[in-house]
Amino acid sequence: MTVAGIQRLVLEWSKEFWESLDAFFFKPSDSSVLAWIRIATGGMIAYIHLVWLLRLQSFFGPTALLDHQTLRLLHQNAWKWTYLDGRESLAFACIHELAALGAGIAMALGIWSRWTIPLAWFLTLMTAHRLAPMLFGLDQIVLMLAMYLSISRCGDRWSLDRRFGLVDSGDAHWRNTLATRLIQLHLCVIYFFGGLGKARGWMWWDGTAMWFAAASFEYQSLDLTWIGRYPTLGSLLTHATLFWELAYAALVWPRLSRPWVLAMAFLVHAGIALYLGMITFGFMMIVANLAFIPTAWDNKSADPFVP
Amino acid sequence: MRKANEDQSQSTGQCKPAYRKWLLPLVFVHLMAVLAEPLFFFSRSDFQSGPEFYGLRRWLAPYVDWMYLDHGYFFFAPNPGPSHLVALQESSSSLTTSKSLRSDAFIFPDRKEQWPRLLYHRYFMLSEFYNNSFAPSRLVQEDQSDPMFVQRWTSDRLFYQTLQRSMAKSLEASLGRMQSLELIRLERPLGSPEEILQGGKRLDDSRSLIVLPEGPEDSVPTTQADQP
Repeated sequence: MTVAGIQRLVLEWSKEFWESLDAFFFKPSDSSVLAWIRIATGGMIAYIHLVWLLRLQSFFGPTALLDHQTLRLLHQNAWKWTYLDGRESLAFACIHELAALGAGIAMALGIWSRWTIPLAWFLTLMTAHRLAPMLFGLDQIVLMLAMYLSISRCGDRWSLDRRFGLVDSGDAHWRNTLATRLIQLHLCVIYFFGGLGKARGWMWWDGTAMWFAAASFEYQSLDLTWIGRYPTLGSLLTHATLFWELAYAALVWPRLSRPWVLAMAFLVHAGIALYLGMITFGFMMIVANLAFIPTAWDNKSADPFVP
Repeated sequence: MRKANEDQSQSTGQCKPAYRKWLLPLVFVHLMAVLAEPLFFFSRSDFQSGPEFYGLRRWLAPYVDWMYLDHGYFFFAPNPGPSHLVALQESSSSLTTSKSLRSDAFIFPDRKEQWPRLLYHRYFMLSEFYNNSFAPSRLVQEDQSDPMFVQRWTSDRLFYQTLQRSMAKSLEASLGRMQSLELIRLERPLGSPEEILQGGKRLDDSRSLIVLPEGPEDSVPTTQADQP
């Protein structure tokens, strides 16, 4: 092959790569699946703030578990600015949490979505920096989803905005594609490193991890210790979880393997929700996986919000 | 002509070509930020962090930190481990034996006291954080000769004590106790199938709770608590 031939081949490949990348991130798509994710995420944000409000005095204000000095030391080497820095008054924190709860509800219902979704994300982020030591996977996934939903047009479907004609027709839009792709890629990162983390532990290799997760009283919600009577089953589930998590980022993209990968995601997260006491986290992980479901399944005529 | 193209882009939901040129690099930087923390986290060892991952993480630190992207995604990893709880009770001079954990101690997390489950999980995460923040009251002899180690311990110890004071003050206020209170770290080890299924040991058996020492690990023997 001549140099000119190689140059042409590289140019063609680059052009094709660029066009594919462009289509991957920007080809307009429908917002129906994102609308479902918005409803679930908004509802969960409202619930999260409702729970903070239950023990407001323990989490905010002058008698909080984490005072200003603790927060200052905790965040001294991190860029974690929040106006809830431990010196906030209880009244201000109460207003903040009520506003976040309201924003979450508005997000779920699809009221002024283009403003309420970023607002719900921002207010939740401020709380997250304030109460960082009390957070877990739920907060990571909720903030991740709210962040990406903020750039989408998910309020165009299944929303009161649509009902009252405050948004356009709900046609396909590039912002839906970009948000969906970012959720998908972020999920791949989460699962891949989640799998790598597990691969470092011997319990995930000798097949006992499932038992030891079940034997943790602090996590337990339903009794899963019966799995100890069936060590082969426990080992099989342990290894299935490990390999599924490691392979998720590769196998979730091909159409052939995607349904199996998503079915496994549903089973793993439903298991976590039911047996390991993290119903909120398990539910939101299932919701996040909806981002891999094509929008074609959604019947537009079933949307009761379309006037 | 250009205006007509832009109008058409708007009406069909297409992204304007001018926007795409800016958006793709931004998307790339964002995805780097998503990857920065786990790459840095996984590349750490006792000797160093992967220099390229350290550089990436440091360069993107303001964005990664503030956007709450600083996660290693270590769920139940590397192994499911024992749980850690916190007990709060009136101060005593010695904590060397299990008997120092009194029956009236307030222990969290506690499902009966913290409801709904999400609230309980907040307290559970706090008790784990408190345990992870632990820095012993003094260093063993061999560690005292390493200035780097001493410096690290000094700052860790300061944070641990600050956290301890903050939590104790808050819990005193919420429980309405006027006495001086102290926090005790507890650990619930994970039982084997033989212990639980054949030995009939309950998962929530408080006799299995271990009182963790405040000094260096080799200074105080860990013993089992006999609190009901």
